[in-house]
Amino acid sequence: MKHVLAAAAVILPLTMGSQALAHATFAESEVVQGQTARLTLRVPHGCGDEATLRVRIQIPEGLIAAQPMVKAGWTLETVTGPYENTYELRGKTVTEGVREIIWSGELPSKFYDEFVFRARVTDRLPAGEMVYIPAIQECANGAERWIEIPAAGQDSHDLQDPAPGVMVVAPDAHGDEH
Amino acid sequence: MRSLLFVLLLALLPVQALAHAQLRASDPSEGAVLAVAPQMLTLEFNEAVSPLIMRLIAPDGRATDLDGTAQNATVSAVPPADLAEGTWLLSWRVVSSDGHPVGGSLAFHIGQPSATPPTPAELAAWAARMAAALRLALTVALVVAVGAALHAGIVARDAPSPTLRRLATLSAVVAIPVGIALIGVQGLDMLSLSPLALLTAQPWQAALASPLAVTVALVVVSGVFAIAGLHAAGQGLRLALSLVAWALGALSFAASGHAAVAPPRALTLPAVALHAAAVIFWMGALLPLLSALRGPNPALILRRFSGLAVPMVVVLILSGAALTWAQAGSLSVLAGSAYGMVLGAKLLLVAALLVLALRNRLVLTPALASGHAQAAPRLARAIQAEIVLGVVILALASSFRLTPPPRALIEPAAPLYAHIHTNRAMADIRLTPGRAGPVAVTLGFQTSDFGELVPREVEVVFAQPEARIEPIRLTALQGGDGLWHAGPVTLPVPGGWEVTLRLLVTEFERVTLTDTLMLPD
Repeated sequence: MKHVLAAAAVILPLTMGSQALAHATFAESEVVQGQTARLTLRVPHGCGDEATLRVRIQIPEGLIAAQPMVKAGWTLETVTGPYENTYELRGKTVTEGVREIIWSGELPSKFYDEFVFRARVTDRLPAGEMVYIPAIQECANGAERWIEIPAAGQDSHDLQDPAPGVMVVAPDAHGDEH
Repeated sequence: MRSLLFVLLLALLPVQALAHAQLRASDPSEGAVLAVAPQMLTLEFNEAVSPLIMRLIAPDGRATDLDGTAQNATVSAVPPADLAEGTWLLSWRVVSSDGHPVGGSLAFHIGQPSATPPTPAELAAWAARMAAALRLALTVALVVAVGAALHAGIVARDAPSPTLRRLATLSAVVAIPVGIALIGVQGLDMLSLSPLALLTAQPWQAALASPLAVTVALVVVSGVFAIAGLHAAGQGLRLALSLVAWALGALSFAASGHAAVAPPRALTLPAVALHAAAVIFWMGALLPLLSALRGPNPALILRRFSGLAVPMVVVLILSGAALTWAQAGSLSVLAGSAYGMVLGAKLLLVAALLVLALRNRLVLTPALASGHAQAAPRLARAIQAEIVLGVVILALASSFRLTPPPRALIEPAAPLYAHIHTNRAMADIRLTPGRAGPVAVTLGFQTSDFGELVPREVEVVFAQPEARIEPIRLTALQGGDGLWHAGPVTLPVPGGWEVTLRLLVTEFERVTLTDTLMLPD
């Protein structure tokens, strides 16, 4: 019986083609070029069984004007720096902004939480491709780093600690352009 | 039965290494030196798991599969009583409730670490010898079957005698069970299992994934073409079928074995195939020639054979020399090693064979053509001697796999070096000593343009997927010398180890470098 269960447990995730439940992922599956996206990082567990004390995400080039949502019980920090490119946002030229968001607090390993921020999706991010947003969970004695970005031709599922990502879609493809 | 099915199923899946179920602690702990043998082996995970494989590898390399029992997040197994002193390795694999199988290896020492810890010993040596014998039988069967077809196709250009045809057909048929047995024994050798394990799926599935399975398949198909060629009615068809059989037979040697994987492969692969093609032609022609001596026109057949044999001998010598160079690099490396001794013996016998062949060509063949009465029996005796020499040479060639130098003579083994270069980073790896057993790992890093690269963290992962040894993970620490050090870690068996370096370059960037190291015995 044990073996049958184990076999079923091995097959199921394959047939579902699902994301591994264990990884940190975004609740959203896609973002629209030229719009401001709300992104929700889902943190399913700590480092082993240690509580997560800090959650850090790195804003990749092409996402601008990032703003974290305030979160009760957590203190927020942002790290700003120059962008590699210049962007036009509401008639103004933007050359720098938030590159990293840091939430500090405590999330016991057996509990689940979500960390929300928003950012403008520029057309530097090509439509039809994934944008990966590396995230780190820091604990008292270690860290979980969801930072591995698949190389060309590589499958994110083959990575040990894949960075969470969302698909970038063109505004018309999305169908609800404002 | 269900577990057999499950093992098969598991084998079909790619090995996933997702970071879910994590080993939190173990008893004994990794690298522990124990005064007395443990009564119980315990692995503690961060969540509930079911054990799949709990394999205990003894200091002498014997493997025992233990029954693991799981209670919540703890898996335990009772080892056999009275574990011998030395280094033991527990290779485990579990599946967690979310369905991801994960595995790892746990090394611990009883009394003190073995000087030469877990390596396949007696049992594996038995399996290796058996595999060498079966490989010889397979080669002889192939050479007889394809040689006869080839002789009929390009030398005699006529249907073979009924006796020869029956013998060659029988050889091709016998190659099938011999090949199957070889695959099974190869599996035993790879996993160092006892012969009883042939009743389980494990050794078969391991060996079927290895290149040897391709060799066996090519031999069998080559034999089928040889049979078809031997029974073909027209000369055109006979020639075509025998050439296909020849090509497949030659390729079968290139599909597996040390020589075919020695770098540079662009040289060694064709060299092995050409070497094998020449061997099949030459050795395979001996029986048909013997038979032709009693036939209607031996002089004509011998003349045609000689015309083809001379270029074949040139191919044989050139490809053999190229392979020796690729395998050994220099004569000084060969001198004194067991490999070198086997090679030396083989070369002596080949030289003797060449002398015999030269005498046949320069003295006996002309004598036969001029109708000398004693020529035919003398030639027959010479060919019989060539056959005996040929079988001994093939036996020596099959025993190359048994020639790791005696462990005691390696004093101390030279370190094994590897260099990985990607567009993100370069790494130099040194394993000391460079052989199976406990090794120290030393690492140096540079950026791809030779700049300074100081990673924040370095993880080293060793895995040997084909031997079903689960990944061994260790953390490297930076020493005062600017290099990174990890281990000593026990790499229990020789062969191809996949080494993965995971460098944390910045907080948010990890570079993964992978290479396969050939760890000598």
